Amino acid sequence: MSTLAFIARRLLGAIPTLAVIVALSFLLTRLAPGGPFDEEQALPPEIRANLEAAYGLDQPIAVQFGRYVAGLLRGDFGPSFKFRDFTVTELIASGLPVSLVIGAGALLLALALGIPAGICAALARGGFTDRVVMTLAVAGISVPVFVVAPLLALVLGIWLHWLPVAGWAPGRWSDVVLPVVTLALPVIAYLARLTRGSLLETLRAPWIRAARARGLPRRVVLLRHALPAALLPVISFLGPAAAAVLAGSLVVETIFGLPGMGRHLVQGALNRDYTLVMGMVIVYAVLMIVLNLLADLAYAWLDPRIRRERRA
Amino acid sequence: MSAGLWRDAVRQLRADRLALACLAILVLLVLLAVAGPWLLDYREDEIDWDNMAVAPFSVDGHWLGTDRLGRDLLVRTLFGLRVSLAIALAATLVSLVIGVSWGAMAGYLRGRSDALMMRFVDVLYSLPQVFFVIILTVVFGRGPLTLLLAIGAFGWLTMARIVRGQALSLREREFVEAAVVGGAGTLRIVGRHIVPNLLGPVIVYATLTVPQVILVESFLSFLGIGIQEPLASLGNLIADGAAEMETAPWILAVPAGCLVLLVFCFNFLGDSLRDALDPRDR
Amino acid sequence: MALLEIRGLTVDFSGERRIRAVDHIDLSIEREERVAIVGESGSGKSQLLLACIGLLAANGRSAGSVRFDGAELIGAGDPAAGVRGRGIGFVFQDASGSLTPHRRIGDQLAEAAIAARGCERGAALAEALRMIERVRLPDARRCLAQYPHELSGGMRQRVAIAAALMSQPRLLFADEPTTALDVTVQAEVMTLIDELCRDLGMALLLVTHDIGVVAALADRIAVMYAGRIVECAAASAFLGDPRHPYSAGLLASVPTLADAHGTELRTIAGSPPAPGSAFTGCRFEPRCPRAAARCRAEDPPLAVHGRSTVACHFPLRGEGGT
Repeated sequence: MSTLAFIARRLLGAIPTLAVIVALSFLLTRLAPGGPFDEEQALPPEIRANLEAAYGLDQPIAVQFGRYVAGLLRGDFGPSFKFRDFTVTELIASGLPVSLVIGAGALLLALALGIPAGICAALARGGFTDRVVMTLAVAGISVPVFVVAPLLALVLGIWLHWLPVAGWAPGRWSDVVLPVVTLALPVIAYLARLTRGSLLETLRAPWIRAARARGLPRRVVLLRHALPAALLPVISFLGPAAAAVLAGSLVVETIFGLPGMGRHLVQGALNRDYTLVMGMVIVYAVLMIVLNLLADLAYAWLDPRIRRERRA
Repeated sequence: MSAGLWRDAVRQLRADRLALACLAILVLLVLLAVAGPWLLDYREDEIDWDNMAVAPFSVDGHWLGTDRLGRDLLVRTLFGLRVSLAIALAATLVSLVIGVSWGAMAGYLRGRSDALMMRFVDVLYSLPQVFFVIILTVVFGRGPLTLLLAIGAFGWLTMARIVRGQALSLREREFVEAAVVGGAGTLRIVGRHIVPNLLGPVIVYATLTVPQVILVESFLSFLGIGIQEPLASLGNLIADGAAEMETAPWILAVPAGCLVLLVFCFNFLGDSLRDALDPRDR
Repeated sequence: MALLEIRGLTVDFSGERRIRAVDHIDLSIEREERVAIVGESGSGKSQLLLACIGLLAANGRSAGSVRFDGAELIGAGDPAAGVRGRGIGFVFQDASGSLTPHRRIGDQLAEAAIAARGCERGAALAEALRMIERVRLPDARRCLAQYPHELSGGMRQRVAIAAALMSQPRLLFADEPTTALDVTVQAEVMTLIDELCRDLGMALLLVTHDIGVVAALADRIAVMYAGRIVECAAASAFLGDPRHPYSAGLLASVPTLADAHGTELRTIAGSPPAPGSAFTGCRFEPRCPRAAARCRAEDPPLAVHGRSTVACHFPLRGEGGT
């Protein structure tokens, strides 16, 4: 099976998941006690009825669902109940680039720092470097994003005035640094631990000893024989890592005042803005499906056993 | 799991001083959370108009200072600890019960039932957890109960997977065969023979689940979507602290420090438990 | 000067207890000579091989002297690095564990040649092709492009042998090369090793627990027990006239076609001592049918008796054997 067919098959497999997500989100929001207009100051019943009719909320659920899905297929996520001047689509479109930049930046930074850290720790096993890296890593996993973010903002932004703590001026890269670093830290920590454990385990494999017995220098054994095998679990982790980054972006965007999707989602949740919340969740779900697919592709590419089976 | 494995595990743990230290700290924190507020002078919502935003150790009675509304920080933090711990333990328990039952059944039944049950797990697993919990809070209102159920509703998935894997291999063991031959019913076999032998990985995973739940709950409370004011949770205390950090950094430091300590100790203990119970490292 | 000269080699493992796996072994191997080491599991024979080329596990320490062509291999740093793959080739027991799963066979063979001789990749691949043909694998070109998991166990072992030979070693270490294979394949692989050693002028140090394998192949046979060599003799001398009670027991335990149907298998009573046990006196004494008080008290040194070197107070005299 060629790569294209593989991708197509996985995408097809993702459709039921997406369908479940859309259906579940929709059902949950519609079945909720109370409606989106409950928290307004007491509206006269006629006005409320008009509002609900305008938003199509007086139709039976099945009809509402049908209209919603139809809208989705057109790329229309419906109107935001709270930000009356904007549609959800517009809010998503404005926020997506920001969130993507921050998220991608964090993931790349995490890969660039976490994997080498893990490798160094594994090679220095039991030694000083190893213990330092691993303790930092446990700390990194234990300290949540919403603690690190204010702390970093405090130290680097307010006390040292090195970096701006809020705002988003397009093109001003220093705005990006703090959010990206904050978001990357727990992933760096986890990747370091994962890489170290995986590499140590791989180095115990009999074929590593056999490679050395053939006279291959340590560097070659490490780079060509050990690392590709050791990195497989790391690749598998990329899916959950992306999910963690997406979740963390909610906090980071809120704290650093970034106009990304995450902040909109949080606002929507606080305002009980159903369409906004639903729309955001669907976009996030799609993002995760795509990222998981990419991770699977990378894994299959690295592991020849899977590649060969696909071709058979 | 054999008695020998348990004995070795306990021995290894007893030798691991850092793990024991973590256990001690956790016990201490739990005791503080449960009993602490009674021993202190102030109530958690009591406003001390004379002592707003005072630093730790500067005023009698307010050991760790007060927040901007004059509420004693130590008491509020302990209350927050109580809430976070309660939700975490309850949600973990829910996850445990559902996950172990589901996984043990699936692993034992094998075949079609297993495939179906794990398919269900797979589909739910692919849903973005945090976001769905958010939806649930939007729908059912924010508060401890929603949070508990929402988090528990996702927490059981990984537990089910782990338990199922174990159950699959346990199923092949002789004592299960003996039970089957002896005419025991499925429920009895699963309950009496399979589940007790899963305890090792289940305990490890439960210990590692608690900090995850604490983090999710704090995360949501921080954003304002979880535990609501005036009820204190470590998450929303940290949010308050973040707002005040320039002028009164202790309002952030105290609950943040408490949270980090709590999560670190659970993670470390869970790791040590896992290493102790892993037969491969012998 | 012998090709490989082992003097007083000792291998210790640290851990919960200190375990001495190899205890003051002396052995020498001449050019193109074939020596077989026979022993049960736990006798330390594999560790002996690994210690010589400096590939012990992290908690292992070797002491003593191992000289290959005059160069010392034991010591600080990694003095054996120059000899691995270049002077000494190694064939492991588990062929699937000898080849890296995610690299093609051709690449793995070629890089061994490049590491040893610095030749160019094209030349190395051509060499790899020749080597695959030499180990009698069909469709050599296709084989080079394949991954290890695409071959059967026997084929993998041939590839592993080819890989060990890529750097043109003068001495081949073979650690139970056929134990993990089907019986039918075992004979083929041993024949292959026999021919290769002859054609390439290699010496062979074969480690096995299977006396049957050894009979046809070896020039000299050494028997290891609990980390020590207890007997060493030329093959014909050993097979016809074993001097150590353990050797006699090993030879006697091999079932032959001459045995009548229903004959009980002959075994050596008891089991080998656990690694790390302490000894006073002879190590084989608990299981030896000829044991006496002196055996419990005194550890017998290696001494020449007839055509063998034996470590026994009461060596056999022309009895037993097949």
